[in-house]
Amino acid sequence: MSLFSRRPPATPSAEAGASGNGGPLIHLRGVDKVYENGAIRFRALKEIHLEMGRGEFVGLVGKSGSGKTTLVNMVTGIDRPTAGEVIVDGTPVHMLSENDMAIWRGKALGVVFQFFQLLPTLTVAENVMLPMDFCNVYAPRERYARAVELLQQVDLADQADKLPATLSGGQQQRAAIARALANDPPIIVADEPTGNLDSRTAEQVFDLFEDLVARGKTILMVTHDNDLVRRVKRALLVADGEIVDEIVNRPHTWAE
Amino acid sequence: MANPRWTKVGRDLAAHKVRTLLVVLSIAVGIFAAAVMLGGRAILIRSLDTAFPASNPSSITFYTSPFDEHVVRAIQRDPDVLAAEGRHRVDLSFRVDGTGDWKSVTLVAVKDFRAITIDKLDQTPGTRWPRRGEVLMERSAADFAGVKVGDVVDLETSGKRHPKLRVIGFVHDLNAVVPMMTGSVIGFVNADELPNLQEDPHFNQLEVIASPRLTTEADLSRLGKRLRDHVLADRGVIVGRTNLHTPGVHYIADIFKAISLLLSSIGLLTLFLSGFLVVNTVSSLVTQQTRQIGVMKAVGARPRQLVVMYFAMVVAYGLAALALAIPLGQLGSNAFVEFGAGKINFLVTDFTTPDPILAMELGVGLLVPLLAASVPVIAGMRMPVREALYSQGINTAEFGEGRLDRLLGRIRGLSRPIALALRNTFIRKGRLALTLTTLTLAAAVFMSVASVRSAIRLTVDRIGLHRTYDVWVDLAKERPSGELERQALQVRGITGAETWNTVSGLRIRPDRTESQNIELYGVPWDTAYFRPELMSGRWLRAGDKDAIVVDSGFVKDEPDVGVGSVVEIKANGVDKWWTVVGIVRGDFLNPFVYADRSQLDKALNTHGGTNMVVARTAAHTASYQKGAAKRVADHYTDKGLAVSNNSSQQELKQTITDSLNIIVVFLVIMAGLLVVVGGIGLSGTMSINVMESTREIGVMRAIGASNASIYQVFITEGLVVGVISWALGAVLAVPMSMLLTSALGQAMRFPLTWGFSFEGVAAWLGFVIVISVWASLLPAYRAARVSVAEAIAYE
Repeated sequence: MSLFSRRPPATPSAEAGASGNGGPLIHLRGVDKVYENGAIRFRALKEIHLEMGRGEFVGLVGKSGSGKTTLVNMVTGIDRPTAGEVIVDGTPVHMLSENDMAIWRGKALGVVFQFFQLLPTLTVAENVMLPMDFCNVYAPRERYARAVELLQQVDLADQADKLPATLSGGQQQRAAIARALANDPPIIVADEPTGNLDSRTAEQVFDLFEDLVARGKTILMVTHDNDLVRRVKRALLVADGEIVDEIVNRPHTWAE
Repeated sequence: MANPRWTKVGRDLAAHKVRTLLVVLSIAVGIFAAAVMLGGRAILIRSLDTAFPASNPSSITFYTSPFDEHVVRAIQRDPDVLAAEGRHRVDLSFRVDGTGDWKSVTLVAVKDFRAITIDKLDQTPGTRWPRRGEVLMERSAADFAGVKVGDVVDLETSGKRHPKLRVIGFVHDLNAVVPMMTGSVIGFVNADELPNLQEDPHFNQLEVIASPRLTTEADLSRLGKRLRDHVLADRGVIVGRTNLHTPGVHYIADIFKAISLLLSSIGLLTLFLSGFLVVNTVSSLVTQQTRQIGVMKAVGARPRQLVVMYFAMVVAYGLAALALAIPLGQLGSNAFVEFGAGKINFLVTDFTTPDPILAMELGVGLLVPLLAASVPVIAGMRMPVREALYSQGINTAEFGEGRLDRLLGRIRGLSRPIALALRNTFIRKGRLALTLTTLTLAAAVFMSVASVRSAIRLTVDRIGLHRTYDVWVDLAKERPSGELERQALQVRGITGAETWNTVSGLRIRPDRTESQNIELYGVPWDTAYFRPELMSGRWLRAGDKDAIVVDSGFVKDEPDVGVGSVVEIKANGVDKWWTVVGIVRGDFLNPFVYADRSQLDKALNTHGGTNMVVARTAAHTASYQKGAAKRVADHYTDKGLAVSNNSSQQELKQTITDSLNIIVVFLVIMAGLLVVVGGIGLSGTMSINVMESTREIGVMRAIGASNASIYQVFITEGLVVGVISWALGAVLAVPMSMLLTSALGQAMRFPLTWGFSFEGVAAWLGFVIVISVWASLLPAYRAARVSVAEAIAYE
């Protein structure tokens, strides 16, 4: 049984997409993404229009291969659109050079991956300090204290000086969230952050996200977890490269 | 707290110890080999450049009839002469402590050792100059003849007396030709010893240093001629031989040039090889780090920051390699120089690595890895974040599109693991190309070095082929041909004999300068004892008038001469014009000229007298030949015929072989170094290949592969790469060895016969098989022990 009821393709809601300073914080306009591999041409995103406002917690749901990850990669600048525009906090992300993109990404976004992707040779605290170091945010002597403070927020301060391999999956994901928060970015983009965790740990991670939203962060999260979908402020259903459905603050609607 | 970026660099180096070790060894081995070869070469050159002028080398040596101090002073008064000294030189046989074989020794008698100003001797600390009954040996005698301080040597004089001399120490004479090249050691005695040796107390050797105004060989030739024909002849001194020494050029310069050429070319090739190894290892390192690079980019790292991080890592590898290679290179070059200097009788006191070599080592240690790393690092940094992040670590390269892939795919009947190994080999084509280039180069250089060794052996063997006599005896005076042959045939073991005439001569060039000494041989035109290899023209014929055949050694010194040239040759005080009808391959030591015996007899007015007997012996071993030569000489002496020398083909061959062996020794050292470089290169590359396949190993184990199957896959892959590089190397070695042999021949001014070393090809195949198996086995064993989960998570 489908979790979603059939609804016409979502049109960006002006209300939901309004940012605090009058415009949307994340704005995708007619984004198309085509992958070509020899004779094979695959259109992963089809004319996506999306607006997200400040403080929103948006979930992206859909089957494997539907285009969710491609869509978040457009927002993070990890991938570039074939056509269309991606404006994040007024920055035309699609037009940035690799170098500018890296600087922008380090400051404007925190990225959380499904497989945590902590660097294995750095301690947990050092992993958290790495974005501060790359983007030269915070004075060098303050960085460790900030890393520990962020780890405290995710309840990992006591693991700060351990190597990632010694942590459980949930702990590693929380460390990855702390790393995403390192430069205090306004936006967190998470690609299936709970996909590799048991339900209890996933719950803890989701609590953390809700807490972050309450503190003013904007979160775009890809998830497969139906329970979590019900708890996001706004959920978008992606299928075949299109946003085919949207629900705002009515987590029970789709399940009905 | 340290910056996490640099912490990561440090921890990555420490965490991947095997990889770090491989990269460091790849860099270090190149620096080490270059330090040994190029550093050793530079130290030897520096040593010769300092020691040779300091020894005050003579410009001209005259071997003469006896003369005294008045003649020396007359020579000293010549305005073109800077210094002159007289010595007495005598060639004898000796043996140590009354036992063992008789060996050749040249004793140089000096009146006052402290007054020597030409060809100065370096005294070994603690030794003094010899008094009566004592001899000071040239230090090369220790190795060559096993002479020790305190030994008593028996000498054999022409009068069959056996005076004894005690060895009181060693002295170094940089200008003395090493016994390896002459077969004779050198000793120094006090002039008071001469009566005891039954020698005339006068001088018979005159050393002259020309004025620095005379800078060319032609200048020296003119001076030599003037001193001989006027100053010496006017005082009744007859010159038997004149040796001109090119100003500033040591006698071993030709061989040294050849060694130097080998050292620098192989040294540079090794560096090149090491560069490939570094490219290979660093690109593998970047490949392994791809996903981490993606993560770092995703959290805000700029490409430049990442490039700096990875370059810092490479610099750290370089510094570690330098820390290893500089001291080891110094030790290696010291050992190499000590060994090499011993072979060519240089006394090296300063072993410090010259600054330019040290700078080269630093440059190579830091710049080559950086250059090598720049391509993979920059390519890795340019990889889009998405691609980097989602790189699986498992081979993403395409297989199946190329013609080769389709061909491999069509091979049937292979077991699945073997098919996988074969296809795996070709999946990373860029990496395979790099690996093959490195290994092919190492293989080709090794085989070329082995081929040069073959060429030297072949050249020496061919020399033996031309001379179909076994022994020869030189007489002090000409004797009738028939009598000499008859007497020789009476000696046990002699099966045939022929008489020749030999005389030392000079070519008078059109500009009236004189050539170096040439050996002029009068041989019957139809001789059965000499079958020369014709290079151009023809051999002597019956009825030839004034015809000569010259050898390649003559043409090397007198390049204007060819077949048809008419040349003026002076011998026994007679000038005569001869027509060159042919050129034959020479045998390295001196220029040779051959004329029909009767023609030479007529030209020199020797009235049918001959002074050399060549003979065949019943057996051909070295010891038999040596014994037979001695029996003929003793027989002549008993019959009242004064013999000046006796020798055998095997002895001559040994002398030539020993001279060329100096180069062979260096070649063997270089081949050894290449084996080290190639071995480390091959094991490094194979280990990297297996390490990169850790994830595949995990997958294979997850679907039921046993350890044995995993070994089979990787060992086969290693063997395929090893054998392909061997085959390509063998093909490349053909032109490479031809070039090297020809360059070496040119450097020595002695053409070598090219010969391909199939032994070298076989040796490398054996080596490559052992290394491929060993290098694949170890990492495959390690990889097979990790759990499936770990293998799949491997980065």
